[in-house]
Amino acid sequence: MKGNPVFSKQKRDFEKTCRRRILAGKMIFLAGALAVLAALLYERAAPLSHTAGKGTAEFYLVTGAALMAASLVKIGRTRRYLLNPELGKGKWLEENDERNRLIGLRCWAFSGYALFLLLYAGILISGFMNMTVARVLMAVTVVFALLLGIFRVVISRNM
Amino acid sequence: MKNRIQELRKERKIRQEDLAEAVGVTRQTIISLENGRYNASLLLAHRIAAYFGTAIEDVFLFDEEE
Repeated sequence: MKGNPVFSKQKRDFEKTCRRRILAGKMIFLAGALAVLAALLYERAAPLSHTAGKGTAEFYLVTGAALMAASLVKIGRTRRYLLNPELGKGKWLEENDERNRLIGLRCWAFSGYALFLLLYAGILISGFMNMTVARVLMAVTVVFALLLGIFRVVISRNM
Repeated sequence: MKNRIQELRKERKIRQEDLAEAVGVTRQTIISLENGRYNASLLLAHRIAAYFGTAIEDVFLFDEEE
């Protein structure tokens, strides 16, 4: 029986999912390495004492290093699920348990509502202080609302 | 929605872990189902009923008013 993809997933897909996650982890590692490289090159081109570039190299260096570390942890964990079937089975169950999936969906939904309200409050408050901040928040709210509408249409067509 | 999962499970001396593994969910989901805090999807209800060898309506008690 083929189930609703939101609530059920075949076990054989989990191995593919793990391999995709490892690939994604490698790409994130590469992105992190590129950020570190960019930071090092930027540091050479514009020394840190330069006012405009102050903090830029550090930002990319720390972000890149964090991405590399996080991706290595993710790759290591995912490999363990592939190498140890018992561990993989437990993880599969945890990820595909319908209650866990519903909890996850509700968490995203409630976070979305909360973020929308916070953005609205942020626009109201920042409007009195700094119009640039208010405009940025308005732009974020518009993009958020657009994405919400787009996903509603796309998901409605497939369900 | 009320259900007879705990009753059927205890009748057959089945552990929550074993039922959970057989129907492909976590033990926490079985606990939530038994406590009535979570309603099973149609697919899970079908799996649970099949596991006990009964019809869905014998495990899950539908209440029109709910």
